[in-house]
Amino acid sequence: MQLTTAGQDAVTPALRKSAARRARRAQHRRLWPFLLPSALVAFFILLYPLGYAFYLSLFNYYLDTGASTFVGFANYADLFTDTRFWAALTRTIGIVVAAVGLEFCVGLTVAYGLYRLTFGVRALNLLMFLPHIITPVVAALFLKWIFAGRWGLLDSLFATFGFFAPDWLGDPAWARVTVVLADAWQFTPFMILVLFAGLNTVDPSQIEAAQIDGASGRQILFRIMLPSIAPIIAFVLTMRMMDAFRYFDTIYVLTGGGPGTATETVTMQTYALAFRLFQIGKASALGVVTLLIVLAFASIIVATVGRRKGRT
Amino acid sequence: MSIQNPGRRKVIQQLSAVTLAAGGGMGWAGRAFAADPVQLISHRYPALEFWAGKMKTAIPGVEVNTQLMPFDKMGELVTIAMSSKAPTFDIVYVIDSSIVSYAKNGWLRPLDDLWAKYKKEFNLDDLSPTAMKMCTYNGKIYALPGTINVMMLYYRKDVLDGAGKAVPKTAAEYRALAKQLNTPARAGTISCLKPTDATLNEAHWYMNTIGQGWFDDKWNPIFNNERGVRAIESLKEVTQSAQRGFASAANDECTIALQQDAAAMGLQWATRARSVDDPKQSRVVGKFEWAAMPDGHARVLADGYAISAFSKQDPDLLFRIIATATQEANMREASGMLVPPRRSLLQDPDLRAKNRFYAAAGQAIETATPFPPLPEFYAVGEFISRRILQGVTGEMPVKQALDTAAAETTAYLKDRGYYK
Amino acid sequence: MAAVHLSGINKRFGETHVIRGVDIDIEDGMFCVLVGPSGCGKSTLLRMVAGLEAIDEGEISIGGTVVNDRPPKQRDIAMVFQNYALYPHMTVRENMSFALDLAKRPKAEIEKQVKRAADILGLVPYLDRYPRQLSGGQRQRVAMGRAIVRDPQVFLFDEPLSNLDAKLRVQMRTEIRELHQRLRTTSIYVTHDQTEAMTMADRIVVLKDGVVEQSGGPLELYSRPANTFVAGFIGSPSMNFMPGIARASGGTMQVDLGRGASLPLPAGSRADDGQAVLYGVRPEHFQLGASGLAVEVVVVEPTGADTQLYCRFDGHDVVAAIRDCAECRSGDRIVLAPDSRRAHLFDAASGLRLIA
Repeated sequence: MQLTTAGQDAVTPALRKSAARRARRAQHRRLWPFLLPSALVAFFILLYPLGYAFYLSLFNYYLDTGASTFVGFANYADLFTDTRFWAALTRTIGIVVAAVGLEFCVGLTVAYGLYRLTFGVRALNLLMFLPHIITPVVAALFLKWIFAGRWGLLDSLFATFGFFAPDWLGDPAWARVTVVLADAWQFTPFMILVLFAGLNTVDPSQIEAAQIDGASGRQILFRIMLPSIAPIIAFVLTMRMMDAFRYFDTIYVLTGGGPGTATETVTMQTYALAFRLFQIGKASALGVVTLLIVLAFASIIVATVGRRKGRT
Repeated sequence: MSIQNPGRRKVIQQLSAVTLAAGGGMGWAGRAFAADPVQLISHRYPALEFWAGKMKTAIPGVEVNTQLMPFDKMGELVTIAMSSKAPTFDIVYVIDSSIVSYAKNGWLRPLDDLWAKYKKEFNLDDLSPTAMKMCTYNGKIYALPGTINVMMLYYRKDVLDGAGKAVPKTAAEYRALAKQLNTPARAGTISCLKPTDATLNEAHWYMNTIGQGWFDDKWNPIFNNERGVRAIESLKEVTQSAQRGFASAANDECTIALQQDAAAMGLQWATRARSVDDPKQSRVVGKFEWAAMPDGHARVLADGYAISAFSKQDPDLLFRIIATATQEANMREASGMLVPPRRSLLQDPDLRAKNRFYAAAGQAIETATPFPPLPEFYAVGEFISRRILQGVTGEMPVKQALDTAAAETTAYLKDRGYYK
Repeated sequence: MAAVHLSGINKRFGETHVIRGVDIDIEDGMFCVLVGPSGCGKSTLLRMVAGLEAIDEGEISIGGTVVNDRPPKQRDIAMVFQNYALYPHMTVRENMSFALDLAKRPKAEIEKQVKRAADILGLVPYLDRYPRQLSGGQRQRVAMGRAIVRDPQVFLFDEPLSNLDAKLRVQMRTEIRELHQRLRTTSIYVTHDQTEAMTMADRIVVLKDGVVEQSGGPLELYSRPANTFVAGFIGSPSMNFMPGIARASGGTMQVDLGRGASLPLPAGSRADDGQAVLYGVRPEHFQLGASGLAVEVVVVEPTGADTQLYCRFDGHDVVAAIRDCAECRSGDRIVLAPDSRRAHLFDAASGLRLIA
């Protein structure tokens, strides 16, 4: 015996599809004018400054005196031959990858824990979100007293157990670890919240189906739940990545980019160029380059994680 | 090709207006009317809040809007407004380094005429010559000082006595003493090497005692010569005896290290002296003494108020506001918050009794050295201090670090029209 | 394949006692339907068999092994969910092979099993599609395919047809039934739809408020309902219940329905003189006659095969399904004669069937 598909599938799908597409297009045409105001706003607050930044990046332009000379792509050439830029860039990428990676792993672990936990979730959730709602600079000052030498919270804690803590902010390697931890302290809650919300959107019967199919808790998480919230993961990773690339306040307060240049990121270099050296052209060039790098990273994340299977 | 694009200027003007409106919550439309409030932009700390308050009431009937904010933020706003010649601010808070750079750019109004006019009324000759030197650029006065601040030697009398040591008289003695006093529980000295300004302040003393200063008279870097290298090597050596976390410590962290008995001595600003005697903050009340830094040449700084060259207000009025606010009586009232830039006050027995450090501060001011009057020093200080730190933390040999900084400095200054 | 036994099952959700001492025996290869109104505990019971819900008291055994403490994956069962629960990020093929893949079966075997199931269900052309590219009926088939591939001891179905439209539901009903006849896997099927239960089951378990009201074959439940609940639940339209008093008259017992209507006791039932009873007649067991209930026709609904008459008798609604009644009009007065061989008698107080 052969069971055949239902008759409703027999209506020629191609015909139905093209009609639907026509209708959709017509509807889009009607809706377009409504987008115009926001498109204009987007143009003026996003694209115009961007274009302007690119324009400025072609000049040797000093903000304080206003002296400026067209130099073409010389600012870019200067940047690419500047070892400090490459050092800052690799450092920034290192910090971004480490921080966002840590936030994602811890965030996922905690979110999954909360998901499995059914009691007292709400209060716990609020508590963990606390670091995230504090203003970055204030959070950084708070962190400063956690990591500060000798009288800091961590050091005192270590001291009560009778051993000396590493020099969190003074040792170049530890300083990098510290700024990563600091970022994680501030933004893991965001990660938890988004991932927790995401996990809760997974259809419980899919999880039960997987249980019956013989999947372990870990297999359910990695093979059922995570793939089905892939778009959310891509969103949160992209957001955090872009944010972390601009990571500034906390580092500025914690280490000022030091010791030496151990924690100097691209953003700090941009800031120094613009407001310390007044080299607006170079700062703009660096801004444009940073934007391109962030864009590249975002596309990689969206292409690998966010690719939604099963959507035509 | 040069941009003389009016569009750009307009954008920057609007930008500064927007940031101001967002930051200060006040607009500045219709500047042409004399009845408009006077606009003050200033950094924020207690003494500056005090001055700002005094300005509001300085001249009856004249309204003064004050916007107080962190130093960096203020610098950004002033630069944005002044570079576009916007009359956004009338009175601008300045320090020695910004006086030279703003004056060079033509952003400040010279005050010599007004100074002469009001010299008697406000007893301006009593102002410390060191302070006035820093308010002067190319022979013209550009600011009225509100405070003077100098870095001086803080030392724990009890610790030195216990170790049978005398107060160091030379840089070499200081270095040796730091090493001798260093214990795991209490560092030999504080060191404040957070990028960027704290580092420059501290290196300044080494560069001017062991080294031969930052620049020659043609603005060629000399900080990387043999003695300059030795200066930074000394700094590096002293950090071996410094408190933990020195690499990310600025004045706040260093002061706390002193208050918390985490260091035996060190180089720190005079304005912090009171806080080590404050029982609410300090575990070592009464145990510190002060002296001018060994061999002198510690950094001295004056801050005060200048008048914007683009202000639409009457300069005479603005000068009177500043002078009235910072007059002697007010300085006496504020002496608990600042080091007054008036000789009579520094020597006043009454104030000296209240402020144990005044004697040392007076001495320190006499032997101190200001930053080089190079308008771009704040700018080149960015890479000089970074490179010094790379040398100190061992990211790079000191010689190589200073040579790199010198090359960067020369290239930058050349681009800005020097050495022609 | 295996028999499933539930004995003394109890389950509480907080204060609510949702399953109260349920015993069910399901023989190997049987298609058992759990039916009842919503909230009766049928889904909970199924989920307990699946291992998705803990058992507070009692024992569940599958194939002779007590599985109370075994997780779902060790029970060798497969389940089809109401919303199909397909994995959206996997193709039909991946959905179907997921369990075997987890069990680390050889590739060739997985391929073979998926092919077999796809053949049975007509899914071969869709193997590389994603669930969202399929129609409701196709998704339903994939969900079943996922179960079939496993070749489990027991199939569990949790209202699998309730998301489908009426026509497709009827079609899928037949398909599931055919599938069972082909595979002969013990199946437990939960539904609230008594028609589904009647048409599909080898055995029906009627549940209400966590208690088994009656269990048995479809015709047994239809012709010998144990109480008024089962009697009313099974069959469509529902059975009519007419309150009356049993009266002995002249050696025979009659049921006095008031208004002068008096009917003989249904066959095989008994009652005491003066006992308050409910006289139950299914609509299809009325005939037009000379003696019986004199009623007034309120609504006439011809369905083609028969005509349903909604009538009033002594303030009660009475529904009758009569063949060849084209001449009936609303407002007519007619006499309905129940077939006393197929009528039922229940105790008015307890609702239990009164048996001789």
